[in-house]
Amino acid sequence: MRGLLALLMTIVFAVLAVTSKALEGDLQLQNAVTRSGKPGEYVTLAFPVIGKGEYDFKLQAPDGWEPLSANRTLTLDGERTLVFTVRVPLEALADQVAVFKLVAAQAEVVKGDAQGSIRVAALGGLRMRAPDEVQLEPGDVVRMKVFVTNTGNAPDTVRLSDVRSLWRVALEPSSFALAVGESREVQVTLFPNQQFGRGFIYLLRVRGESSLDADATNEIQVLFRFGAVQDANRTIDPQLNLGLRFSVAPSLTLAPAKEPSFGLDVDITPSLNGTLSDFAKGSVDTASGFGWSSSEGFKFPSGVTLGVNFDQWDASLRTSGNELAFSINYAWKNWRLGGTISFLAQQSLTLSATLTSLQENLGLQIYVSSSNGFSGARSDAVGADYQLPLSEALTLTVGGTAVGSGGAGNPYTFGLLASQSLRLQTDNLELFQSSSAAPFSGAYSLSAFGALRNTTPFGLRGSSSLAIVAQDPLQFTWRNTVIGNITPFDGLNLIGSAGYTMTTQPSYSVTWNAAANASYGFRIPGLLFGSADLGYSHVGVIEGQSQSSDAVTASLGISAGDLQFGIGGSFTYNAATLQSNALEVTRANAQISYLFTSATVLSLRYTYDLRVSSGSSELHNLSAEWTQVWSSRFISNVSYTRTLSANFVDPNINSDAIGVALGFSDLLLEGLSLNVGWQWSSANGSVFDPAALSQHRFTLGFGFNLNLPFDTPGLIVDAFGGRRGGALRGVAFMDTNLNGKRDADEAVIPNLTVRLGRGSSVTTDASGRFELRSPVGKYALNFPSGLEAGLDLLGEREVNIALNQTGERNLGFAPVTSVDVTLYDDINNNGRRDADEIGIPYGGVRIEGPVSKAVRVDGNGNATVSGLVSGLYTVIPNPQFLPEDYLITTAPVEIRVAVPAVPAPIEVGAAIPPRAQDVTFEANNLALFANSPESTVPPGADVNLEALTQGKVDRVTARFGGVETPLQNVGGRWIAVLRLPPTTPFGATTIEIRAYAGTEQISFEVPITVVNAPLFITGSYRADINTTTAFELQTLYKVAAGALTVVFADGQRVVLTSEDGYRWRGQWKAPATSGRLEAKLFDGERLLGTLNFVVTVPATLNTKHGSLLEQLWLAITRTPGTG
Amino acid sequence: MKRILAGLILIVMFSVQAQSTWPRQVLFQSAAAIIEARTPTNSIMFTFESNYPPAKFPALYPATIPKDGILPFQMRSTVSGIWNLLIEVADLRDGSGRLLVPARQILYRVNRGPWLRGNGAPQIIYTKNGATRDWEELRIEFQIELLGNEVAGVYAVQAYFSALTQP
Repeated sequence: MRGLLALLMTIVFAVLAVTSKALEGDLQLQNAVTRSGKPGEYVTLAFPVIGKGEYDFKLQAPDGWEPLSANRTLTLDGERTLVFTVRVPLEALADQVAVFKLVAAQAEVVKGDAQGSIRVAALGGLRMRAPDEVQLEPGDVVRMKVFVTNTGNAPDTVRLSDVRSLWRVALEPSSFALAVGESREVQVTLFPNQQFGRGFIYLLRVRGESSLDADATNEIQVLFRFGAVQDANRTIDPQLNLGLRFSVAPSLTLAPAKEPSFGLDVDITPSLNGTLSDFAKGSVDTASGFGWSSSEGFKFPSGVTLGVNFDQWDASLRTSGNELAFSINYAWKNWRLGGTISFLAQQSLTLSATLTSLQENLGLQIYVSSSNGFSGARSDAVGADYQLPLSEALTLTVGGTAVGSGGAGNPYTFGLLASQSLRLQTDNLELFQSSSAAPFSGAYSLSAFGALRNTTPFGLRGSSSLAIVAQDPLQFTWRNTVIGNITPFDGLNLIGSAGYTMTTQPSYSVTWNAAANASYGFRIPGLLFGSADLGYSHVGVIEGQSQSSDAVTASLGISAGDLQFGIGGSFTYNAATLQSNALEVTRANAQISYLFTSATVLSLRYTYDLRVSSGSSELHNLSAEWTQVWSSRFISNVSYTRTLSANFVDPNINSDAIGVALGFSDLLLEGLSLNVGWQWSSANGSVFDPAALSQHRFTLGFGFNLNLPFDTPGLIVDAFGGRRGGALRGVAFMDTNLNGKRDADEAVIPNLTVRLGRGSSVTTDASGRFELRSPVGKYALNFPSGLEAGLDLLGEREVNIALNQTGERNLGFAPVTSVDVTLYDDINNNGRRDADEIGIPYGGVRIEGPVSKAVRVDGNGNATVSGLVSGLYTVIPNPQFLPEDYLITTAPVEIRVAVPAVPAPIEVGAAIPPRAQDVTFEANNLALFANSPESTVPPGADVNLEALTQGKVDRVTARFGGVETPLQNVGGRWIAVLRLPPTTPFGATTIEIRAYAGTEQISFEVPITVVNAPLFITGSYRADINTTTAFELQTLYKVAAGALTVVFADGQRVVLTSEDGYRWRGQWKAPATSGRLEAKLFDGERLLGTLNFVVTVPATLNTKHGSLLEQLWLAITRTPGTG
Repeated sequence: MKRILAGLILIVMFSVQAQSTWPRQVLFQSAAAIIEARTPTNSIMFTFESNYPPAKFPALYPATIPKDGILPFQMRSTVSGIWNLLIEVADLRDGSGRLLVPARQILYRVNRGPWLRGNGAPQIIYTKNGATRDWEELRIEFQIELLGNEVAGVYAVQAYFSALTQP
């Protein structure tokens, strides 16, 4: 028996051995499981293989796909898994399936093959381009364009929205579908809701979301700057604008069994606003207009407001109904005073004033008010709040108010209110405690509050407050609340709250409450955005006669490109009490709208309302609407609305209406609008039911907005402070040698009109000289007459007129011409513009030569560079204004300008570089990694490079700007210092590091950003008068010993010393007078920049703070800005 | 006396604007109460050009708009219970969405309190119990922290204000 068992065991083991080891030359190769990955991800294919012996395996990849290592030579002895890693190409489209074939060979004879597949997953990507800054004048239409591109690998639905804009923003369109690589232009219009003047800035943020990928969200920021620079088409004199809004609206109503009814409504609403002088702005606005209507007769404005605004004070006078109020605010040095006189006809006259300290060390606000009734009653109050910092984080505030009231038969009585609060604020916490007491009235309060200052991703607030009125019986309310919110992951927000209240108002009760709300924003990739909201709240009664209640709300919104859909509902139940019946309210609504084209919108809406109490009522409302934008001047709207009510027994049509409205703008005349309307309605049945007595109403409305700008009369300008300004003077000359300076042999230009914007102008005299006065501000120079054709100004056109100063500016002219430049998206990186390659919106181009200019291109990538004198120029894209990750793809374009000929248009390109595989190791284990500590450097700076390698690397090089620099092997690390050429353009770029091992080589790109900054880091240098002080600076490139010199304005020279060529030291002898000194830093003859030195008077104080006299003396002798 | 004279010296250095024409915004509104605010601007600008780079990093630069980096913020409340004022300082981006300066490098403080960092989300900056007497004014100061990888220029960031009440 034991022998038989041993035999069986031997047979089993033998079979197992044969199965697992396989026979020599026998190979079983199985397919790999299909995997998926997004572009850029690494995906591993695993091929199970069974065999014995040595085999060569080769993975054959489809075009564009490269395995990190495609070959294996293995000696098999049983089961094995062959693993190949493949990086999904960045340009691979979603749902593309790449099939790989693994071929096994022995002595070059194929022994088997297998397949593996990789499916490309969808990856969202969104690029948005808008101008960084838009310059406008107050009153201009606030509009710009955003270009949105789908940079993902799948068709996407994109949603745009403004981020917390205080002004209303219209995005046309705000939701749309984009194919892969497709761009769309979005018109962005802002509607200012406030008065503002020149110098005002407004910041707009626009967010773009991809339905494919939450991480693809992009956000841009655009600065709107009003009145930044006067151009040739603007006026600069104080101006007022008279606005008149006219409307005439005749109507005709045809009701059954009635005579036709005609109506007429005429309205004129005036307004006046603008600048009264260089110091003041003013406005007059009416709450409504003057007019006449057939139903009401003559109409007058219900209110008028007059306002005047100076830099340091403003005032307004307002009438409304039976009230007249005058307010004035005056800011004087460290105090701000505000006052109001309010007259209420036949009732009272009230005066109030507030004085606020603006001092750094005095937190004080004082309030005074007095109200006198015409019946003899009066009330007065005077109070103050004082804020005292106990430490940086802890602040004590105390306040007190004395009040008095009486008259009209009542004795005058006094009262006091005292308050106190403590606030502790840290980076994370806000703790607050307050108390108040009004002993005369017996009212006291005490409260405490604590919160986490941050509200995301987790927020918590809690408070407890007690209010007592000490009377018999005692009245009090004690309220306690805790609120928490959390965002566990992007899109989901949870809010919970709980409370406990004990009160004697209106009767004693103790209640508790709890509420929870969950909202979730979701997306279905490529299709839609959605949001869902669910909330529940409960009020429970512990004691007393308060009413308990429950409420549930829910809503769902869907935005799928052109389709918008939403449903919502709520249910509220209030339990019965002794005073009231129980009440159930159920509400539901649904709406859907579809944007057939950008001009056609169809929408449907349904609402339902059910109330169940002692009786029941039910209401249904259904409406449909079609809006069609036929052109920018013609829009139509057709609507239908029906309301049904029911009490479960007798359903009834409440109202029914069909309407058609046509709107025309700029009809025949700019600013003239016409509205035509027809409504067929019934208040008690269907309009199609003859018994329902429906009526027709026809309306016609003419509207006209008239804006009449005019120069503010001189009398008013003078009355409000007149003009303030400065002067500009210089000489107009022919800059023959183009050096920007007037040389003795260069001719002057007489009789040339020099104008600032459209304001002040003057004509040069026989010696080319000019001097003109102008209000302060920035202006663009223009020359309306006296300039020969083909001549233009060299250098900046913009000049700054400073208050009470005369600026010097010699105007050099030369024959010039212009060239058109296009910056295009070189999508295929071939350095040529192909038919499908569009312009890069709002990018930048530099042109360098005898004159150098940097221009921004428009939304189509085009710009015209003017003011070019004869000579050789180079045109390149400006890396500083290229989209992120874009690199220049075209060589610098050289053009020879021969004025007056206009050179042929220039095209320069930039693109996202081709996504080469970042192969960091090969089959022979060659690997490379490199980096630099200097990620942001100016042109001409040194960049330290360090590379780590694996494998038998012979040499490592760095290549930048066509120059190759070898790296040195120091203890296994490869290092080098590379100096950037001084002409390196600004922007993002890369340094290519390449490692060589025999015939193998691999590369790595080190990213750097080239910025416009000095080549040295300077310090803040101070010294007392007549003392010698050491100072230090650091250069960003290695300077030869003894080369750095600091030259002061008084001729003092300091030669700096250094041990390493980077860190430099010197000794500076301060002069005998205090002040701020500038000195120039030179490397040999080359000017590197300016250093600032501050000379101060020594403090000879015996105490820590010194005597008052000494403090004053110190403050007086310090120059501005020295602290 | 020292404090008064020191204050007189400071008077020369400050100039402020009148406020009755400042834009108003409603921060909170219910059937029974309202919290509204008015400020000369909500856009905060930082300029570092001729004064850049600094002697060392990190460096702090006060805002250039509003004047002296101080935003006078006036608020009026009729709320009877405890309420909070919140600020949201956003990341600073350009027209291409490129992140120029993250919100955490924008610092602010209220009424000379501690310097606090923005984080791109609403943060509580002030608490009060009950209504204000009239327009109550806060001084909100802004400064930017530069770490050395910023490019010299003019930058603008938006400050959004909102309010919360304790039920």
